[in-house]
Amino acid sequence: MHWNKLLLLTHAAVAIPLIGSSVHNGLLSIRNLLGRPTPVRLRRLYPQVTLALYLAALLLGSIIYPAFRVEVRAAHLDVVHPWATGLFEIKEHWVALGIPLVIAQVLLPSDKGRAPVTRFRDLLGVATMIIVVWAGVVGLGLVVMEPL
Amino acid sequence: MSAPDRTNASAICLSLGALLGYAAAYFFGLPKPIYLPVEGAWTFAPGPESITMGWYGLMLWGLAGAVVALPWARLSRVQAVCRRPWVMGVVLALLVASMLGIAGTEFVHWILTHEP
Repeated sequence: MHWNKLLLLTHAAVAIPLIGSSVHNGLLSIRNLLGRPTPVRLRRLYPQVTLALYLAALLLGSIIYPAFRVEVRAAHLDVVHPWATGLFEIKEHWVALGIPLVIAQVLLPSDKGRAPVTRFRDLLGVATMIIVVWAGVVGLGLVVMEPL
Repeated sequence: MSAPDRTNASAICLSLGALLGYAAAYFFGLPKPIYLPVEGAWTFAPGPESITMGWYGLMLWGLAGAVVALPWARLSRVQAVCRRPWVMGVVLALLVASMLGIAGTEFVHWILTHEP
């Protein structure tokens, strides 16, 4: 149980800078989509930071998921707060869908002006921001509601 | 075709393959390994009373989709197609449809039909 608490704490500690980097990246993407000047260096850096933190948070979450599934979800949430299970399930699936998006942003060029590929990359940045913010709000909310 | 074309095509094929693999497994209920956290075992056919975790299996489908799609990015014809905006639109449309479809399905299942 102590290991699970430690992993959960680490998971949350990784999630907070992940939210920061993905929101910065998403806001830069929106600025670029609107045609406003954006620093190319940061447009390259934020997706790289987001990818590293995203994979770390995913790995930690995957490790503690079985304990959460048995001790929190099955024992309590499914019975008393099924809406919270629903929000958690949406989070898990959206996070999985987000993995290729974050990898694609690292691969795609950030300095092609208003080319379609840049707009595509920016829209992926906005989608990633939505996914990460949703995952952060639901994940941290559940930790407050029902800690492991 | 240039290295940037290959990189763009890789990003698009990876996204498309992973999204298609995951969404197909989710919406069409494709067979997947299911983890039983109480028993610490894997199965394809869990009992009705078992506590199950299908998310890892869905992740495998997404990974499989990406692995199948990625080599296509080496073909020059695919690289040429991936430069067209409509292909990027297909990826975004699939993403939005998957996100909304999953949210709707889970909302109906857990929030509308489960009584606390």
